[in-house]
Amino acid sequence: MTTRSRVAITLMLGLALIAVALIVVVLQSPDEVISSNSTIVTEELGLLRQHTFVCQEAEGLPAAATAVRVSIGSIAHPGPAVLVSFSDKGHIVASGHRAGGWIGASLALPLTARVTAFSGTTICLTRGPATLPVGLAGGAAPSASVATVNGKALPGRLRVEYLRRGQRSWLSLAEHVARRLGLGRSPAGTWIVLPLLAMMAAAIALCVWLLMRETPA
Amino acid sequence: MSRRDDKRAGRTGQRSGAAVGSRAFRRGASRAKKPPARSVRTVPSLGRWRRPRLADLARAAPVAGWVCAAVAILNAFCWSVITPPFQVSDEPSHFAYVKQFAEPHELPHSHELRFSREEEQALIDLDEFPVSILPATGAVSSRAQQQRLAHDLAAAAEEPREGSDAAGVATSQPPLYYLLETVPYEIASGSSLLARLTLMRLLSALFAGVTAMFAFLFVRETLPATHAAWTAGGLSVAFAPLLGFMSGAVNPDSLLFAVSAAAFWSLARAFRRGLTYRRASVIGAITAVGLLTKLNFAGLFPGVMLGLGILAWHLARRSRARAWRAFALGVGIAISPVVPYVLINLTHGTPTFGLFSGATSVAAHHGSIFAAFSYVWQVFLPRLPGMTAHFSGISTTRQIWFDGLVGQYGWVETAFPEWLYELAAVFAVALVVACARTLFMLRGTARERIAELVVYAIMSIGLLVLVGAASYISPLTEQFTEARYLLPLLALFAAGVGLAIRAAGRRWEHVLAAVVVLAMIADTIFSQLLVIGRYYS
Repeated sequence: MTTRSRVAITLMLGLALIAVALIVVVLQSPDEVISSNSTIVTEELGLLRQHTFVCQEAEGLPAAATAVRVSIGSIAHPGPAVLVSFSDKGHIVASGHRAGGWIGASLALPLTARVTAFSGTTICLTRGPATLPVGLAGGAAPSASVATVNGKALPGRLRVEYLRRGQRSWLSLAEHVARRLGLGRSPAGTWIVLPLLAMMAAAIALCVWLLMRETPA
Repeated sequence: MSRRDDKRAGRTGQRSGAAVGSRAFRRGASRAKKPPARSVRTVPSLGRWRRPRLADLARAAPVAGWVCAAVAILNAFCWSVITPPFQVSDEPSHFAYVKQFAEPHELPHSHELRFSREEEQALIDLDEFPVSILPATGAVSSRAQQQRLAHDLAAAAEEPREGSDAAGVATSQPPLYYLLETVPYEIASGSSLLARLTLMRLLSALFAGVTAMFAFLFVRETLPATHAAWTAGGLSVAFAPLLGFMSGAVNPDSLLFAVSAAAFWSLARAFRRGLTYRRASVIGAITAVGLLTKLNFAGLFPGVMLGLGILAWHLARRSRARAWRAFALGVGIAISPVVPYVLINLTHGTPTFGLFSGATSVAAHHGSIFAAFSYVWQVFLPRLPGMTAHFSGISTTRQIWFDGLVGQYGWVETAFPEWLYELAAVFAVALVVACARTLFMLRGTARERIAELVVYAIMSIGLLVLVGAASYISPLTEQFTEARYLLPLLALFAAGVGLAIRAAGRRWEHVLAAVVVLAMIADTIFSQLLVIGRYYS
């Protein structure tokens, strides 16, 4: 077998593998938000330090929730481990844990147990050891419903979203995604997807051509 | 490979063999055809200056280099479409800088995040802040939002154009990139703000092509006998998702990556072919452009100067006077932007070296040199015994730098699932082992080229120290470090890929090159899907 044949086979197998992986990905469903506490994030509320508890009352925990996303952030530095718990009248009804190493302005934590609906739970967050701070973000709220750090009131309320595995695959959402991709830009329009696909295909085609061209027969 | 490229490859192999005399490089030379006599004239004699023509410059790079550049540009174009406006780190600030430059023709002075009314309106209508921090908040999702955005931007365009004296973090940066960006800004000045942003992003994307081209040329200079390495190195850079992501946005990093790759190439070329006045001028000019592009280039500066010094020292064996003149020429051109900058600061009563003067005094107040060293070390590497823990519970090497280079987007909050980084780590370790094996096999050559390698090491360390020190002197909540800060070293990454490929031997090196490039393609495709899912689902 010549070197050129080996390279051609490698490229074909590799591109086929990428295509298969692509199909697997688009057949999966993204998580979807089933409800939230409707707080709009507008400001920084403070820091979540070690050995502190951040709690917030009046959280409606939906039955189908498999994860919760909270507006706490560790941007550019990996954040520490974070624990979340939901309690109702002093009893923990759901809890979750996220290992250290996450980055972002909000954090999703999978909930461990199957959740039943509770309307007035208290969510509490605490964190594992790490030197770097974790930011708390949220929006203004009446003083009676603000979040607290070790019982001390913060200037607002954290945003909390409740997630579950979506019902629709990425593939079935393709038209929606393409339409949305064409919004909020100039030039705008769904047609923008076509040059996008063409450019990526051209880049890959050029790459394959070059690799074959540079390979001795 | 075409016959012309074969000849070119042969020439480079033979020159390196003559220059270095290593067995490894002679292997390349022995396979090569004898170079045509005309090619000898392409290396100008010392002191002779022939003005290069555009056609000469175009021919200086082979077709493969141009293809790598084209692939990088296409990739960055894709990223510029995929990423919503202002959803790349600090893009609102960089856009504000260009706007201030283009509208009232002044530089921004304030570091506040207070932009022109037109830009503020766009940021509000695009929900820029909530979109950036909340993964559930995607980009514009309805036609009503789109119409409101278009209406508000049209209304803003009717008002007298204004800039903003404040450009956030961009304010402290040198003006070259922003000056260049005023060209697409002015071309689209009759259009909406978003149209201007689109055109400005396209200019940034072109710099990705320059980066890939110089990465290709750098590998060609450093590994002249391994043709597969040039292509694999160039294409790996061209498909690097973080390069495409950053170059698909308005951010001086795009030009910084290109200039840094050019700096590595210019030094490699001079190390292989010897220092001439022209090569010293090119090194100096590239350094000057780098210093005018972004402050981070200052990290590479000591290494470049050391390189010029070593090259001049080599030249001094033949002619001491010429060596001094070449060195002075290179250094003079390189520091030419610094002199007016210092003079302006002195006349305005501001710190002599601007931000760097302030940084030195802040660093002095932070503690001992060892404390600073300990911090900077831990920004990149695991803590050593005796060091105070600054990043307990975190592997910075892995979680900031490696994961970031594999793919973290938006404001670094959009990431792959953990298992994918682990898979990438296995692949990366295999490449590093292959690279180390080649270096061991070529240890004789490495010893002969130790001065050149030291220069690259000093350039790299300089950049790392700068990035680490910038984090060290920042307040605790603002110690941002992102993997993109390492992309000025993309040329070295390309050479690393080339070395790894060489480990496969002549029989399999092209196959390994294909595997590495396919991995980069996969990384880019799934990174783009990740970002699409983040903003448009």
